[in-house]
Amino acid sequence: MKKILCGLMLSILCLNTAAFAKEIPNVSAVMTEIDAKEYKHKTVRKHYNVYNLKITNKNTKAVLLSSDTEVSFISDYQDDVTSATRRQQYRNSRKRDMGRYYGIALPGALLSGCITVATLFIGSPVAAAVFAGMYLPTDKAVRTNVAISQDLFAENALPIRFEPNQTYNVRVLVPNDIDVNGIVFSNVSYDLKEMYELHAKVEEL
Amino acid sequence: MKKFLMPALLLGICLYTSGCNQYITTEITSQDGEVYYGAYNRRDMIHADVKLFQKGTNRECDGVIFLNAPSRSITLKNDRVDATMIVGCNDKTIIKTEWQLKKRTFNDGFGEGVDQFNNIYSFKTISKKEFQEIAGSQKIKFAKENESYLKY
Repeated sequence: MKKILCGLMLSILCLNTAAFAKEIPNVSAVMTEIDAKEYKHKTVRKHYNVYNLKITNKNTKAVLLSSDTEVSFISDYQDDVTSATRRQQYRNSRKRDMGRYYGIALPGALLSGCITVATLFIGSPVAAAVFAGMYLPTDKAVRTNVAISQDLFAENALPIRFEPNQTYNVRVLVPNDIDVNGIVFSNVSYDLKEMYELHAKVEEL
Repeated sequence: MKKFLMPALLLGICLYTSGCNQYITTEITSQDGEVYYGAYNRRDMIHADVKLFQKGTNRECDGVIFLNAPSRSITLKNDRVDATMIVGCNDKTIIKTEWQLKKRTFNDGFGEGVDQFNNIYSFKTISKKEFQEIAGSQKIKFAKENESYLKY
């Protein structure tokens, strides 16, 4: 009987340590939402809410991320959701180059074609139609994509190492359908041996 | 003549979209004499998948490269621009590399990277022939979306 009890208690202890990794000490992390005025890209906002994550490492040694680090979002109402990979985020947050604008492009081409027919000779309407229907929308989409990807490139990258006494600002894209409460980085450590968790809470403005 | 135009066009499109591997290797690492080699394969205007191996060990890494300024509708296409490569390895390290790559072709460049312990790796692009001299007959297989070592 004793043996069984002992085994049970031991297994509970083991399970506990496995399920609740320790939180890393002396690291403060706060998330604040960036509103629509500051971040305007509609294509990104369609899928994600944009947050700014401020991480300060107050330890005397650097905090390291590892390749096992996973980012997950905590919510009061739903189960925890793991963050999409960076690749998926990039993919979701870009406009399609062509196709989306056919609704505006084709009537636009017709209209501009008609106007040119009425005012000029017969050759130019074709060029005008091509310009208004094909070139402009593609160009607009490509330029928007460039702007978005440059922005993601500059702000979205997570450092692999948090130096002591330094503050890092990282932009976090949280899926729209989550009422996010906080964020957890798993498998954070000082030496890649003993693993901790890093918690950040959303601060209301 | 017309019969062959369509297949030729289709073949051309297939070749264009399938993309070729760009092979890479390290020149100098701060751990003496260790050589890393691998390749990346461009997926669209801004990103490419990467695979890296350490020569003589079973340490391997994979991840992504992102280009800062994609090519179309911007001038100076042959200029080099920043690209960030982040790879996660099967021994928990992450290597973050800053590349200088040609904007249009996404290749022909050099880069310097660090891992969490501030070891330095300097990369360069190489030709397939040079790659085969280092890697032998090893084939590169890129990781699928959910099986990458880089989790976030």
